[in-house]
Amino acid sequence: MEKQYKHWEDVRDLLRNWREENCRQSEDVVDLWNEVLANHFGKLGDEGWLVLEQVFIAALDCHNMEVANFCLSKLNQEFPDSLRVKRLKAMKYEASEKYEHALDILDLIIKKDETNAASRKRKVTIYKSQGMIIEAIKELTDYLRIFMADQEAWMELCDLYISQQEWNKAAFCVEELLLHSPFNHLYLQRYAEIKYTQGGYENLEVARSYYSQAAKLNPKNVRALYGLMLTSVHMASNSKCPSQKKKESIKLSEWATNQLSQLQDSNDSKLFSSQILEGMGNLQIGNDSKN
Amino acid sequence: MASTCELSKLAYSKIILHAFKYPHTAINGVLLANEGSNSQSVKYVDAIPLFHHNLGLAPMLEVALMQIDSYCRTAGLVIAGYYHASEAVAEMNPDPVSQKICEKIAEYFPNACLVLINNRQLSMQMTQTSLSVIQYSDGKWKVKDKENLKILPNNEAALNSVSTLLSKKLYKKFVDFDDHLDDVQQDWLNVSLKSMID
Repeated sequence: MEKQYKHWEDVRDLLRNWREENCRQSEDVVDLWNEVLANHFGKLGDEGWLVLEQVFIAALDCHNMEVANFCLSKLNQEFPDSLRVKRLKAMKYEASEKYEHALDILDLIIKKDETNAASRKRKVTIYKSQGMIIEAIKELTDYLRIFMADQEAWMELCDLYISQQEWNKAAFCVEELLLHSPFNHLYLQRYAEIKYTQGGYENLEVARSYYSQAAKLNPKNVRALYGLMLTSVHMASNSKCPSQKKKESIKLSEWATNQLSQLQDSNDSKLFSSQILEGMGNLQIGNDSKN
Repeated sequence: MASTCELSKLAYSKIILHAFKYPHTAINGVLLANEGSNSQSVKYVDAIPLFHHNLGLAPMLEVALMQIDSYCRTAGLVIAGYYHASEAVAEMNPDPVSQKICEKIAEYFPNACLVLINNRQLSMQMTQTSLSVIQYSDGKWKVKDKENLKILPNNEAALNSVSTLLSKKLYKKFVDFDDHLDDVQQDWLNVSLKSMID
């Protein structure tokens, strides 16, 4: 945040951008509110309520309870019976680690409105904050049975499974995401990463094809390029690999290496080629069933 | 005869800056020691931050370790430890991923240490080191006593130095390996920050 935003309209536009892109810039949001926007709140009109909500959540993230309380009281004044504001109250309890109170409020909201997706998701986060990952997974899978098109939820479930090293289930989540967006290079790359981590020659092949597709869709996806290089080299050096695939793998890894060196225009491109290929054998962390 | 674990001001600062840059996710990184170190009393001279997303996935971890290993050979260093901060604020135990990675490191550097950040003790004005260390020796994990963890030159000076860095919000410029993978121009060695830390 080097640029000094002096004009409140610029700040308002910036916050709007961040809202739309779902950016997590909590420290900056609270600073901008305190320095600029708080004094011009009256000029924001209806957008002001969205800004208050955004600042409230950012303040909770920074544990700045003063700002959070101010925002919440203003919102409560304007929308006293709102379920959305009630959910924000639950978030405040969550931030103060009063999880029982938070859960009570959320359960009340869900009882009043069974279609309230956001409240159900907050229950998942409450379990996650306490480190109760198994419960969080159960809550999230129940949620997804009802709201099965929620991509954010599938991604979160994938992350939870990865943290529990449940590779098959994590892969399943990404498969759901790929059904929604088959040309999303990030989902393809994520799928490849899970398959690679699972280990075994067949998974290596699958990983390589998903990395290839990701790199094809976005030749600047560095993780996909590295992944392509890794999988190709492992496959080429594996005894199970037929000679035609070996040649294919070597060509792929050369292409990936070239793309990577083009992206990095400094001298460090030397790091990519020989040293990495040399070091390949020593540092395999994934399951030892690679060979 | 307890062995000590020492962290240079640079290594410690990097760990804390990494934690502050991504307070809402788990983070991890490796610790470097001088080549040929006595592994009974380890002195970590530098730290390389790794990831803040999906710490459990293998491919990028392998790429990162290869590049760090390459760098170490040119700088006379060796990967000798690992640090980790959990996502949940109250979590004080190392997760299976951290243990696996540290066991791998211990294959090359016996008695590697796993440094865990105590999230609750972190603050803009640091008053406690906020670290706990467990060491992998003879196939077992042993918790190290607080007295055997030292930050150089001494705890107080290091804490003051880090608090100054935090007040200047230097963590915003800090780069980890995930940031480098998002934009290859970013330097995961954080060379420009090094002069500000010293």
